[in-house]
Amino acid sequence: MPLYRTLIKPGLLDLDQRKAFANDVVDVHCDVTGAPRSFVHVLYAEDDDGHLDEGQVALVFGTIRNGRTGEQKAEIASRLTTALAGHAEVDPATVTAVSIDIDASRTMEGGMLLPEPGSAEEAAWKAIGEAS
Amino acid sequence: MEGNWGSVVSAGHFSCVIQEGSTAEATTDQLESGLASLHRSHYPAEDTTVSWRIVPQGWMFTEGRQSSSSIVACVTSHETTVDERERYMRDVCDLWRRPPDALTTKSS
Repeated sequence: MPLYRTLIKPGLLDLDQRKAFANDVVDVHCDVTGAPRSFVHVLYAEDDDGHLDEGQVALVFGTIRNGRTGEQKAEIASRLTTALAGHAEVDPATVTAVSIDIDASRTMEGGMLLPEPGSAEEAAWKAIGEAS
Repeated sequence: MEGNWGSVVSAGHFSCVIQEGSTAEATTDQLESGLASLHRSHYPAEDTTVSWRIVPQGWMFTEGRQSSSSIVACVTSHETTVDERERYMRDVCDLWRRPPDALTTKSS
C-alpha cells in the first residue's frame, strides 16, 4: 500500500515504459505524501476486455490510505496523468488517474498493520520502510 | 431457505495477486487450503472462495523494481473490528511465510 493499478490499452507501454512509469509513481506518491518508497506497488494490466472508455487509453487507479487531502490527491492524479501520457506519447486527455481511500487498519504489509497518516505509529512504520 | 439453516450461512472471498514463478505460484493449492482453514478458524460459519491472478514478470513493480510481493484481499460478509482484522491479517502473512514443505504438511 499504496497500490496503483494501471489499466492500459493493449500495446500502449513496453517493459521499459512500464518500468519508467512505475518509478514515476513511486517518486510522485512519496514526494506528495512522504510515504516510504518500499511500500509503493504498481500493477499493470492490458485492457483485453474493453473496460476503458472510448478514447481513453489508460486508467490509473490508486488505492491509498485514508487521510490524504484533496489537494494531495489532485496533485498525484495530475502528475501521474502527465507522466503516463509522456511515456506513452499520447494526449494527457486520454489518460485518467483516480484514487480511492482505504482505512489503514484494513491493510497489513510485511506483518505490520498500516498506521493512519500522521499518527504516532507512522514514524516507526516509515523507519521500517526506509530500512528495507 | 429453511433447509439451509445450520449450514454455511455466508462466505468470504479472497482475491490473490501473485508473481509468476514465485513460491506462491508453486503452492497455490496448499495456500488455498490454508486460506480456507484460516478463515474457518476465525469465522466457523463461513465458507470461502479464492481467485488467483498470476502476474507475468514485468507487469508489477514495488519501489520501481520487479515485484516479488503477493497481494491478498479478503472480503467478508460482516463487519470486523480492528483487533479482529489484525489477528486475521497476521495469520494470512504467517501463512505466506511458511516454507513450502510446511504448507504441504499442513494441508495433507
